[in-house]
Amino acid sequence: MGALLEVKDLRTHFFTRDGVVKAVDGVSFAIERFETLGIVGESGSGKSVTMQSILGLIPTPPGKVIGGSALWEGRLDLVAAPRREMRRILGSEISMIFQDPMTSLNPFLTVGQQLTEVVTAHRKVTRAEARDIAIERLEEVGIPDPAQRLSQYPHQFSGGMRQRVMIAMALMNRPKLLIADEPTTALDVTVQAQILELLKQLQKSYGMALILITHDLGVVAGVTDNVMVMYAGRPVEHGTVREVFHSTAHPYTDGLLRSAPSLAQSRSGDLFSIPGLPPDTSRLPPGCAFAPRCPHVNEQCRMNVEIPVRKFSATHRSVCYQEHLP
Amino acid sequence: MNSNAVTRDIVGSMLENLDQPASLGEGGDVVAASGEKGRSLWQDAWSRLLKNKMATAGMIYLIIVAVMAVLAPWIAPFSYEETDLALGAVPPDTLHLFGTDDLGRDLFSRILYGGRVSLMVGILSTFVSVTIGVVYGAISGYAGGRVDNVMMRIVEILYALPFTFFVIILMVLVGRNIYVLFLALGAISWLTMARIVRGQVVSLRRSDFVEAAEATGVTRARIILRHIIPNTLGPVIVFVTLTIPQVMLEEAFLSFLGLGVQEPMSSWGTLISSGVSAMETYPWMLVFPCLTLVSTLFALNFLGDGLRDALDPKASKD
Repeated sequence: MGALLEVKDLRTHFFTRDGVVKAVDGVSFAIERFETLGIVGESGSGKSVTMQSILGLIPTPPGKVIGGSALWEGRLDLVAAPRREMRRILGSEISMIFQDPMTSLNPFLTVGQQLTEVVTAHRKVTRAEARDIAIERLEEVGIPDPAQRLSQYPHQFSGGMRQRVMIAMALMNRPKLLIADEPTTALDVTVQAQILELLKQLQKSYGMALILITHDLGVVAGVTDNVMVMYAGRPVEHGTVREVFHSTAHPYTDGLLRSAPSLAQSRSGDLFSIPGLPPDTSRLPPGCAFAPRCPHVNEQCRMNVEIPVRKFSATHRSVCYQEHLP
Repeated sequence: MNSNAVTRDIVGSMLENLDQPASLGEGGDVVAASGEKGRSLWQDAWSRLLKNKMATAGMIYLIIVAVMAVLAPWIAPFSYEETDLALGAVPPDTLHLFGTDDLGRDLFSRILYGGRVSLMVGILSTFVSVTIGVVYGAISGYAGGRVDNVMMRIVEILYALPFTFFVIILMVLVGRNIYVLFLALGAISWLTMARIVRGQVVSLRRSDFVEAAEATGVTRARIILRHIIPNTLGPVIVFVTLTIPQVMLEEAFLSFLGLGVQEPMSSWGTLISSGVSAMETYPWMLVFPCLTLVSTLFALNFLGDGLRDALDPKASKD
């Protein structure tokens, strides 16, 4: 059986007044059943837009998926699928968790109404059955007193609890793939750890695949099997966590890793940061998009339009001229 | 889903939602009964409204006026149309509370009956205006892009036209039909409503929870009905309480010009109109209808202000 989801050469552009923003420009990756994939990159690197494109959630206009495919279970191209078909899959086979739990719940509906809505949108169940499923899920995500909590409104939940509700909502129909878009960014550090632990544990017990979008490499190291690093709408390095962290191939990944503060670092030393800013994807340089900020840059990088993909192993590849970094 | 169906859904939900204030009352009791239970935003708003003395007083006054108007045929001491020329104009006394007009008709009874017309104009015309405004605004906001652009430009063009003038022409052409009056008045006040709703929908459409609902495969119709429309209702309700007095004033104005309801039926506008002509000899004919109209308008405005503060607590100063 083929991959659960296979994305090939996905391109999503936004046609704005200031020009065409190539938010996603040639992203390919595959995710197997039960796999966890981390997608890492700075803000604006196209992580979220990639996922929105796959799920058909790009606001059109101005955005448009202009090319590529996203083959689901080897049978359905999500990018080309009609709206009806997408609606059937969203929330049942593929679910998504959003960044900000404070605004992702409708303030006018009880948590119970919103949870059961996900079930009734996909399956023919009675209200009581939907309610039972909701209680079960809330229990699984660690919300005490689930039956009581169902009749409460979102504002009666704390941020961490709301994110648990969002996770419960995503799990209502036992999806095969869960996409978590920076699920911990808006939360306290202590709560972040709990939520990640919960996601990890649920991924195992549900036997689902998990795509974790984040800009925090620490999160990736703790939770995922594989990592894809994105820069300016393109993947720059892809491999297992071990490969990407221990035999880093791309200067950008290296920069990200070195930017993470560590306790071992001397106190006086300044925190490393990659010089410059992420590029405006409507005005990219001709060669490698990272070239202007790259410490290892040479003439080839600036001139060549197509940077070769180097393969270091069956799983590890990098889009760069550079051999393994010292 | 075609736009017709969407339209119907929106209208349908609006009809349901118009019942909302009634159900708010029950909600308030539930809160008092148990703290553990969920408190909806409606219940919160309701309890804030009750804390506002002016708004509560306005609401109670309006309920009294409305009940009296509805019950006019049973509680009016005299007929509103039977003249008693022998009696003529009598100043207020214990028999005729507000006195009688120059044709010997009891003014209190006529004000009661006039309230039926005036309040009905207020409510029905506002209903027409809300229906058109919410449907138009929701479609415009949800469709977005070019459709939105064209629809909003049409609203702007209509804004520029002198509508009171149109209503006058319409009334002259069609004749003095009370239902045409409702329609015409409603049809001129939906523009602002459409703009308000459209603005709300535009911001809600891209809100996280709507996106989250889309990402769980909820249908568009359900998203509009369950997620978008309820969130626009706060401003809509506030605007309704401000539209009703505005429409009632318009009706009074048209009646004053002789284009409103026809004798012997009365509305507060026609009563004021005939009061003006008798102002110097029988001042009570002007004073009482005016007091009724003004106090009702005040009550509506207090209620409207109270509702605005209750539904949007962030906007109030304290």
